[in-house]
Amino acid sequence: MSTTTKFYQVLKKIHLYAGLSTAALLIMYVATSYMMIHHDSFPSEGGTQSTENIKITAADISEDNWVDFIRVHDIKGRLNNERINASGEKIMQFNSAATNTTLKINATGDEVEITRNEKNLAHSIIGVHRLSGYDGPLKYNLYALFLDAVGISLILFTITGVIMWLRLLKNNKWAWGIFIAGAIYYGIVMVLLYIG
Amino acid sequence: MKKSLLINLHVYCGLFTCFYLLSLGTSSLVLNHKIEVDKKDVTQEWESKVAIDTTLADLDLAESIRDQLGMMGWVPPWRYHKEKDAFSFEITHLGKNSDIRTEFASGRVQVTEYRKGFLAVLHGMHFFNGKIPNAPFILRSFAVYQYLGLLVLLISLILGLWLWIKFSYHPWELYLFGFIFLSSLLIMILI
Repeated sequence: MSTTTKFYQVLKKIHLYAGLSTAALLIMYVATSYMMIHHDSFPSEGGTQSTENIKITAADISEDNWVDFIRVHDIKGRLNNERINASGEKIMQFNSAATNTTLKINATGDEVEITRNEKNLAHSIIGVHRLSGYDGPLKYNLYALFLDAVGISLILFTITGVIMWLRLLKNNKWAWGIFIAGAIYYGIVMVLLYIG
Repeated sequence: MKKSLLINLHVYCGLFTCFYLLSLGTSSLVLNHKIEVDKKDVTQEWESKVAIDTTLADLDLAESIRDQLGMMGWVPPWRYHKEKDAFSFEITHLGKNSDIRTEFASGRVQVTEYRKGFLAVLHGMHFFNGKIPNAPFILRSFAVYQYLGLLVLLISLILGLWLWIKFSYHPWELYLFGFIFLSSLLIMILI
């Protein structure tokens, strides 16, 4: 087998495996992108909101007891934002794909208001698309790892695909036409946005 | 259907979306690692004059000034700042932020532009759907490209999977990638 043929075989494997390893996420991204473009067609009704006020002590929300507090009060997701507002209340926002939960601990630290928003099915699915980053529990870090794999795969199988096309169909006028038209169009859009 | 036809279709679909896929791949990494890609240096300052209608509400006034300046972009309400004799706001889009300060009496407008840079534009393509106020036709046509891009990506994926299953798969690949497929589905459900 010649070096060129070996190189082509390696590229073909990279192209295939990059696509296969991220197929589920890519299909999800295509579907949720469509849902996001047509967000008006997917009503926001159907979700639920509830609020409860709980008396607490400083020990309840101490570092040692925090994991238990989260579990007992069924606070889903990972901490996304934490701040102190003008009234001295501590605001903590937890997000998962399907839920948004806000904790408001009063300035004296003896009461917490928990507001839970459960999204409907469509917005929960879109919520998966919006999650990113290495924070929080293991499952979120695993998802972030998959997300990195998707990003790298997209780049890899695009580049390997183009190289294979140059070898396989380099005399195909349709392929060149599509490639050049795509390059010109995408280039013009980016330049217009850059200078616009 | 003949294998060569399927391969051709797969290649055409891939070539049509290859630039979009490259920017989606790059921006996925940028988002996942929260990398700051926007430049914040002033790139240009200029002045102009517009007609001011002080009876307009803030949003209408900002849009009126933007339109008279012939600028493209959104005018986010949280960036409005109204003083006794002036109105400040921001015009923003994927590639540029512009701070606008307008004097009511003279209609004089001071514009300070901040170009975000090439990487920011590449990253911004992830969210771009062609819908920027005052965008030229070619930018608005991106809505069609985005639709076609998603459709063609899906077709390309399905064709690729079909070609693999029909002509070149090994059992161990099916087990391994089947496991990865199911694992990613499970993680998506869990989060």
